[in-house]
Amino acid sequence: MRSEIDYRVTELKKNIKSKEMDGFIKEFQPFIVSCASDVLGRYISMENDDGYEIANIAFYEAIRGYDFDRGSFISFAKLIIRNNLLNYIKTEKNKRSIPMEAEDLESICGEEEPRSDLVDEILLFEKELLNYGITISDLEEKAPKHGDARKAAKELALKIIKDDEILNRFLIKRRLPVTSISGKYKVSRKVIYGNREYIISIIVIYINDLNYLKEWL
Amino acid sequence: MKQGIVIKIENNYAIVLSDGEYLKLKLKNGMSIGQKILFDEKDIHYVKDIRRSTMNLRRAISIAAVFVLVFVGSLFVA
Repeated sequence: MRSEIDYRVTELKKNIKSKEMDGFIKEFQPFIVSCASDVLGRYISMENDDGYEIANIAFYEAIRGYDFDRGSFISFAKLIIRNNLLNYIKTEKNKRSIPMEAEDLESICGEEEPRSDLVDEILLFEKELLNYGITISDLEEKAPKHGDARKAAKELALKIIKDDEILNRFLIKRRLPVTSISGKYKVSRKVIYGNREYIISIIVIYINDLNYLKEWL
Repeated sequence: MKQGIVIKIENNYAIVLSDGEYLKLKLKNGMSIGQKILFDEKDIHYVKDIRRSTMNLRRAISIAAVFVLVFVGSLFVA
């Protein structure tokens, strides 16, 4: 029994520059990422990840070089991605073992990146949370697990931010005025209290204008 | 496949913010704070679920123990 994928790839091969091809590669991104991550032993970065690029090119190569008679496409693609990545790792290692010219060395040392705004923002987030007795690990443990619950908690947090009276009480006491919020916004005290860490984390992100983090909420 | 930003690195796990969710991920090489990563369901540490399942197991064992006690007790009475 052959997989449906094998037939699809055979079909795709006939017309390499089609929309279907792009769609197919997009559809298989999770597969490509997971193969690359396994071979490289690290997570794939969303920005400037050479390994990720190479895995994508390898996947494309695999489609072009696929032979239906020789077995499953998925194992073939895995093999090609793996080989290309191992080659890449090897050449990177060789590059590093070549003694460097003083000039190169300087340019590399000079390139030491200043801590980015993003990292500063995350460290500030952590520090601000501590003012309310919350650690980032607490957030992982105590934040609502269900998407709907999170969405409701976020909406409530956004209302609190716009509500000067409640926001001020929160900032002064460093605790959510649960009873007032519950009365004003018709949310049960239990829900507010249970999700307080998550709600506070969102308030902290907004009142400190942590714009990078907002994108991930 | 999910996307997330690394916000904390501990000794044996990392925490990412991903679509409004704080998730605990397995540590892998070369992670840094602020890194935007792609990850898989299988990279997530589900600590809570393990705790919950051992709770259920404990509950089941204690109920079974009660039955055994009642049974043994009834043998003695007989």
